[in-house]
Amino acid sequence: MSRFKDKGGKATPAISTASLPDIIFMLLFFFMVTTVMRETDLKVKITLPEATEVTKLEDKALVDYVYIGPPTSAALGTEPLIQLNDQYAKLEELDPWVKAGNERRDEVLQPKITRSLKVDKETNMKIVTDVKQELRKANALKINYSTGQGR
Amino acid sequence: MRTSITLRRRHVGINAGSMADIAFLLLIFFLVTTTMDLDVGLQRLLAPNSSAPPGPVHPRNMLAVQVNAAGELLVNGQPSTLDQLHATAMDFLTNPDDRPDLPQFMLVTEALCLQRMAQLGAGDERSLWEQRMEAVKHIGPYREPPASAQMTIQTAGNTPYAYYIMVQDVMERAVNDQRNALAKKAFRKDFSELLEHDPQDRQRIAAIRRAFPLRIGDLTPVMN
Repeated sequence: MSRFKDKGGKATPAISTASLPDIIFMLLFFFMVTTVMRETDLKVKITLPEATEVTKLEDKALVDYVYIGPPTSAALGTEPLIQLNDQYAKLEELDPWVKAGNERRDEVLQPKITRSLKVDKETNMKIVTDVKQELRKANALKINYSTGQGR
Repeated sequence: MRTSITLRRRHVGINAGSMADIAFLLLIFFLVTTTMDLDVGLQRLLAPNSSAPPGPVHPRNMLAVQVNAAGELLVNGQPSTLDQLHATAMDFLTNPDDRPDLPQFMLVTEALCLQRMAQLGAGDERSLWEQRMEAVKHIGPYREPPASAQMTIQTAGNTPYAYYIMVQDVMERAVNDQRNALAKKAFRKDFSELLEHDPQDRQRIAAIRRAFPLRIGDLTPVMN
């Protein structure tokens, strides 16, 4: 019976935290592997439309982004604006932007660059069409309509 | 000298208590600076900005869809729903009953390929027939749509982008459904299961794409 004798029950042994760093490191590596770096600070609000027949953009290094949506700061109104790199841009700035994007890459890779349009779903087609027209003029024909994965 | 030797012998455990805190800081840093969103979307090729406008296309070779600001569809002038558009697109891609208002398909067989290749000298036209021959080897005799057959989308200036994507999506689904059906019949596999980097599969993909090309064009929006 002495085996089951209450030994006092005052001091509970401390939980060993020696493996805590290992657990956290595992989490850290998980996040490092599954996520990608944020490329730009968004200055426009974008809710992507949904589509089912989507394909994945394979080479992130060969993708340039055009963001279109209403500005995040209310002072600028609610009309959709175009964002290139880190700032708002006008339509005329698309052509130099395409050229700059080409010059950053090797000639061999230039025709493989995709311009991904991240457009808010409420945006009017007029501005989207204008942007596409500018891209055509700049001979940037490979585009991607960025969408969410439906269903 | 003596002190260093004694130091090496004595085992002093490093205090690892703060290791967890350091790892936590790193973890939080990565959580903040990275995103998890997968970049997916509908990939398209814009028409080149040539100075010469394209010639007139026979109405039977066009599936013209118009979308207004309320998301209502006109398919070849007829009001319709998304499901009806899908069905219409499926018919447009195959014309199973040889209807005169849908594209006229060309039945490509090995005999036809050989005959045309014998007639033609080296050139673009001949290499096209060589590609068709290659396709016949993989999927058997197939029906090829005319080169001008395409689906087009026209929006109004104030149509929301979401409706445009919706129509693009339905059109692509129709093409994918047809490609899958053909891939199932010929290779007992889904089209998406064919691998781009496998040499044999790549030729199969090319053959299926030849039978069901993804041709979706844009028309100038109606401004109002």
